[in-house]
Amino acid sequence: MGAATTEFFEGLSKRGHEPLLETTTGTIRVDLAKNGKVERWLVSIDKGDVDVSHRRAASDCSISAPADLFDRIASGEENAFAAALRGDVVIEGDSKLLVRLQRLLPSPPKKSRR
Amino acid sequence: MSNGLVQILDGNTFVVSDDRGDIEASLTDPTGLFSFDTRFLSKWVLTINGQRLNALSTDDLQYFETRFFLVPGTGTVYVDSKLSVIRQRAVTQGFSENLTILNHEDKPVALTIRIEAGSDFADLFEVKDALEKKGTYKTTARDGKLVLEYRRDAFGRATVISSSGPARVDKTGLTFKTRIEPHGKWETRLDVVASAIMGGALAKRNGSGRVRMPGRRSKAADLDRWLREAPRIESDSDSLKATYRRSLVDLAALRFSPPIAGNRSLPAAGLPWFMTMFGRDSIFTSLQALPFTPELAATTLKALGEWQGTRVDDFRDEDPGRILHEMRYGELAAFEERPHTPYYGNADATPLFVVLLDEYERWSGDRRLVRDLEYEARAALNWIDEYADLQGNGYISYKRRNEKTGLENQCWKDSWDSISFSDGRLPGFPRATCELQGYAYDAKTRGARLARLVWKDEQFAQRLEKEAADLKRRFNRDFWIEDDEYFALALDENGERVDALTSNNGHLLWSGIVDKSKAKAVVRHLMGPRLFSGWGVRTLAEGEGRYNPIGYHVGTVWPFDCSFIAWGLRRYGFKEEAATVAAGILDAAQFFNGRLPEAFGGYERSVTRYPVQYPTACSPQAWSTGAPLLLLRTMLGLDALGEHLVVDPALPNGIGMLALLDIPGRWGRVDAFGRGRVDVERALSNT
Repeated sequence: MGAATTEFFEGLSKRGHEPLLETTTGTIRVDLAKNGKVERWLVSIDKGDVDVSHRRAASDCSISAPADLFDRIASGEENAFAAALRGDVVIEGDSKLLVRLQRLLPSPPKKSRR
Repeated sequence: MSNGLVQILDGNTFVVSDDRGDIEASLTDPTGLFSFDTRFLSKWVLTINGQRLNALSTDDLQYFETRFFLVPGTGTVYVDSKLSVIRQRAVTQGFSENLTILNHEDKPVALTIRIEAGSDFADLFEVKDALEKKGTYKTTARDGKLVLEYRRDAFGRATVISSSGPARVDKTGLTFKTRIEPHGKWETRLDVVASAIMGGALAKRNGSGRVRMPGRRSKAADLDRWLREAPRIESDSDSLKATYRRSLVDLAALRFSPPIAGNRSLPAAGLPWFMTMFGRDSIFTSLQALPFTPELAATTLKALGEWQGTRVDDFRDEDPGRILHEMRYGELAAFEERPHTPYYGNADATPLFVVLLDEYERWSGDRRLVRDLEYEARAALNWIDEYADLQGNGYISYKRRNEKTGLENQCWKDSWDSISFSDGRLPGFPRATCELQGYAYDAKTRGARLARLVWKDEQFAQRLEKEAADLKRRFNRDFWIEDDEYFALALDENGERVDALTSNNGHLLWSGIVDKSKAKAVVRHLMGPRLFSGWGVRTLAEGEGRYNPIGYHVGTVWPFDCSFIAWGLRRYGFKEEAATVAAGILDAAQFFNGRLPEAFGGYERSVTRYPVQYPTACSPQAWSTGAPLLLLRTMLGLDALGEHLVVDPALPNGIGMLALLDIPGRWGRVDAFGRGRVDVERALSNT
């Protein structure tokens, strides 16, 4: 799995509470595909309290993407919403949760593109 | 409905056709079926026995439904048809069309009915800018369905066309062969469904950022409910009543449910090209409509809060705390050839977000939303000082970081030549336009109230109040043009006053940043012959270097602008002047059947006698639709004070009596009455 992806989810997990998500409750499943395998991250948010795991559980929103693309999203190089509109990231369920998750993503690296 | 075009819509799905119901679009011709910023049909042409049809009449049944009465044959003056054709079309997840053909003869007729269909899947931006497509097309005719597809990498859009009656389907359309008995009829229903393709399959409409469209019947019921829940109007002025009703219906049509708002809706900016979320337009319209349809404000605040900037992204001109400018869902946004996912390049929506939040709480008493948006409101207030002070001089300035596809002017007057010196020179960047400082002042003042009342943060409230007072003091010193006694339009990149006289002075009154001692002079300018045309306040004063009575932001009169100016006049106690502005704009509305255009010419009223519409593709425009609502508020002097609705009418004498019944708010429902006593005739004609 990509370093930025791991860093992003572990950072979430470490913080435990995220003020940007205080009005959010819901579970997001992130399925990242690489070489025919899928790595799953499960992010459960309860009014800003964030729990990250690899559990299998019901989710309100699922996000499927190639692992390398998601790694670029997690590092800020790619924009998650544009990728979803392109169909490179597929969202099912409550898309509001993607918008919420997106708020936690880092800024694009300076001068990396455009 | 300009140029004989007919448009119906629901949310951001809309159909623009000619008066026969036909669509024959080219890359640059703005007709078609559009959904989520993509054209799903560019060709939709009906023929009977190879003949095109003639329009007898078009009935706009509702904003989402229309009916075309047609007869075969074109090009002749004299119509004597033995057939009638009725196309009844309603917007659904695309549209559905009931096609009825009546045979008026005593003998049977054999008919070949043909619908030619096709799609270029153009992005809205491509329609505006005539760009070439980069993806590939595929067409299949199978199982009685015609499927049009467009793909570019994983991006896919599809149009599926089917009929209720048996049709022969080929790759360019559908054919029906039928025989209609004497005085008989033939009917079929055509369905056109616009879809996204996700992972090789047609997407379900309820997921993937798509919206489930309600059916026709529920839409009609929804419009009834919308009208029923708004305050009722009583007046001897029929035109005022008609304008009010037109505004409410148009506002209903302009409602847009962004994919994240559930079934709630906010006002989109304009129909049809701006049926999307715009920070500035959605906020201004919500403010105008607050006493009438407060739910729009709540949804606007929630949706804009969801999308508030969190990153520093130069391509999108995004900063943490910044409120978005415009959101788009089409191909060019998806492939980042345009920055609208979303684009953040505006300098006013962020302070205005706080202004709307406070005004909404004053009216509704909904403190829960203020609590829920505490983080966002604080981030917006922080943006003013942390990210918007580009020159380090304590004022909001703008300069785009996306120099290729970003916006140069990030204020409401956003055309290229809108900000100028008196002699016509254009200032450099960054530019600190004056109204932005007013909005910042108002945001801080109102933010302080919310901090004290709801967030229970006295320290923050005091800090904001101190900053607001300091800003007001500096502003009245730095922007004031002593000799002529008005506020400069902007400070340029050197801190020099951009000295053109503009309507922006009126927004300053609205924000409360103007020293009381200066208000009289400002009002003298706003109501004087250089700015006041007799219909309203010109964007740029006559006599300025770039003044042009039909220049977009350099001389035209904008109803939306005038409605906020009227509010500003009331705020400083100039009731009669506010009534005069209201009378001018409402008089103008009569010439447009109650539907005010985005702007009209700045010609003197005594010269043209009627308001000359500025040519524009968008009608209705949300904040023009909201203007009569805000003018009703200012004429009646409505304000929320504590738990009460204050009514302090000052109506122009053209209105004998005005009653607004069941005004919703924290007080429940309250009525307001007023009689026309302000003599405005002289002010309106003596310009």
